[in-house]
Amino acid sequence: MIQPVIGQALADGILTGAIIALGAIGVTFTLGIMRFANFAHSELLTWGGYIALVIVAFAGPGTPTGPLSFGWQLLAAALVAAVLTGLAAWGVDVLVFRRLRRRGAQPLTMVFAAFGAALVMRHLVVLVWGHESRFYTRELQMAVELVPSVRVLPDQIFILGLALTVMVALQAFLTRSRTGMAMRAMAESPALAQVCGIEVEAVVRLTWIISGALAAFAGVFIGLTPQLHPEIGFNLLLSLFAAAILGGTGSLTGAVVGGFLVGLAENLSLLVISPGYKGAMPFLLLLVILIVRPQGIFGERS
Amino acid sequence: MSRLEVSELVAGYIRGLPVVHGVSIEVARREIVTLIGPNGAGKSTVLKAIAGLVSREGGHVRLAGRDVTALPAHEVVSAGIGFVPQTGNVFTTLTVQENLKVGAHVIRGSLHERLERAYALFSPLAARRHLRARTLSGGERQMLAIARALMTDPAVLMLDEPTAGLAPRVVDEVFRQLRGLAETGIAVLMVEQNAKAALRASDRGYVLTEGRNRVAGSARELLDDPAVAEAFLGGRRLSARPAG
Repeated sequence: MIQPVIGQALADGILTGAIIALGAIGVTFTLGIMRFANFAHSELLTWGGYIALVIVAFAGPGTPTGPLSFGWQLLAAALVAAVLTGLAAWGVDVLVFRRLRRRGAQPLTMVFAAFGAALVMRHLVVLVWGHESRFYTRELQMAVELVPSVRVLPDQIFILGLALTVMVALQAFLTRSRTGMAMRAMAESPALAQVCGIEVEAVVRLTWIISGALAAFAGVFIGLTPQLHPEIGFNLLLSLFAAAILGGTGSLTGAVVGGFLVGLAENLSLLVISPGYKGAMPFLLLLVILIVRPQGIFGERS
Repeated sequence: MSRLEVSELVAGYIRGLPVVHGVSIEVARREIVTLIGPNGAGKSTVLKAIAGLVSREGGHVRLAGRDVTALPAHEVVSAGIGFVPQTGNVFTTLTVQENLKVGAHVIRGSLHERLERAYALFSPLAARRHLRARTLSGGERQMLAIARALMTDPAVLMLDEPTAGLAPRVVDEVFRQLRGLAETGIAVLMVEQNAKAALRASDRGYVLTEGRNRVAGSARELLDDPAVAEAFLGGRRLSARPAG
């Protein structure tokens, strides 16, 4: 019976991995372009999830479409939440990080500021919505059996497809568009980017907006499978950083691969150790990668 | 009218602590001008100040009569000043072609013609256009850095130590390229440690010390001036490396 169980763990790992990857992309962008570890990033996932909840509260989750538990309204809510969370991420930058940047703050100062911002952001959510879990929809869904003994919800397959689409679109943006190339240039050398006529603050703003938007998608996806609570982001914080560092900071491909590896490692670990230790898996992966390949899988040695 | 006119420039890395204390420079079209002087004379800082990369606290920078002193770095590029920094002057994680495209960031519209022109001017880059810049040799990187700065058709091209670390044969090649560029009408301003070779390739030169103008003249005059030769061109007493 061990094979089917592995199959289920793989499926769960891939689904968790997609969500971690979406969040880790923002972490790796802030590490690569703003050059600090933004521990408030996980709260953007929570904000995205709750912003979509507000929209769903007004518009409804829509009538279930096909095998899915929701209709187009929830997708529209996710899109609006992505835009608003992107703007919120930029807002936090204007209120907190930009001021510090202009004073020439050290990366460590930025990290502490990020912790502070994270606390404020998380408790704003608690203040407004309280601690209890929230649901976008109360529709019950039947899991489908993909292969014998591997069951997934149609919502999960849909989410995986959407997450992969977003990642492919982002990759195309970074490699083909003028603005995307400016972001990659900034990630390598802000000084040289300036010499090329790139407006550094414009790239920083765009980076926050993209990171926030992806975080919102991740937050909505968590809320769909199956619920929202104020700690959804915080609980993923270490997985996000593990994924970003594992993949190599600044690398989109790295964050995506790192996200899937962390998701798989967490879920596969359940086969051999007690669920209580699941949270340690990202650390173990981090330790291994830092010893074997400190710059991460796709990182460039500087 | 000079293409680039710098008057009484005061600039530095930290506001209130300038390292350039009133430098004046002029560069005309088709002219190559070199700044020389000891380490710490503020030569590189002058270039960075013109490029808008360090804080400018006094004086003026004019480009064909237009005051560009207060422009932020990215607008200096659009105004027509190209800059090749000394180190880290190519994006090693990007391909050759991506480097050139990023160099043309301020240009809207098709880059096809500009790219082909760059490859025609620096033919070794053409074969390597889809390779990462980190795979290039030192000389090729310098070519890419110059080609990158030329993507915007600058009126003025500034180079910080363009020959540092290059083999002597490549040094000659770089200077030959710069002369070719000047002949197309560009005003070239460079800083060089390798002062003698640079002056030989230049029309005029300025000697800076302690952030101020010290001597100015045609390249020939500076090369023939015994005091300049003694102090700044690798004369026996102060030479850091053998005169070349």
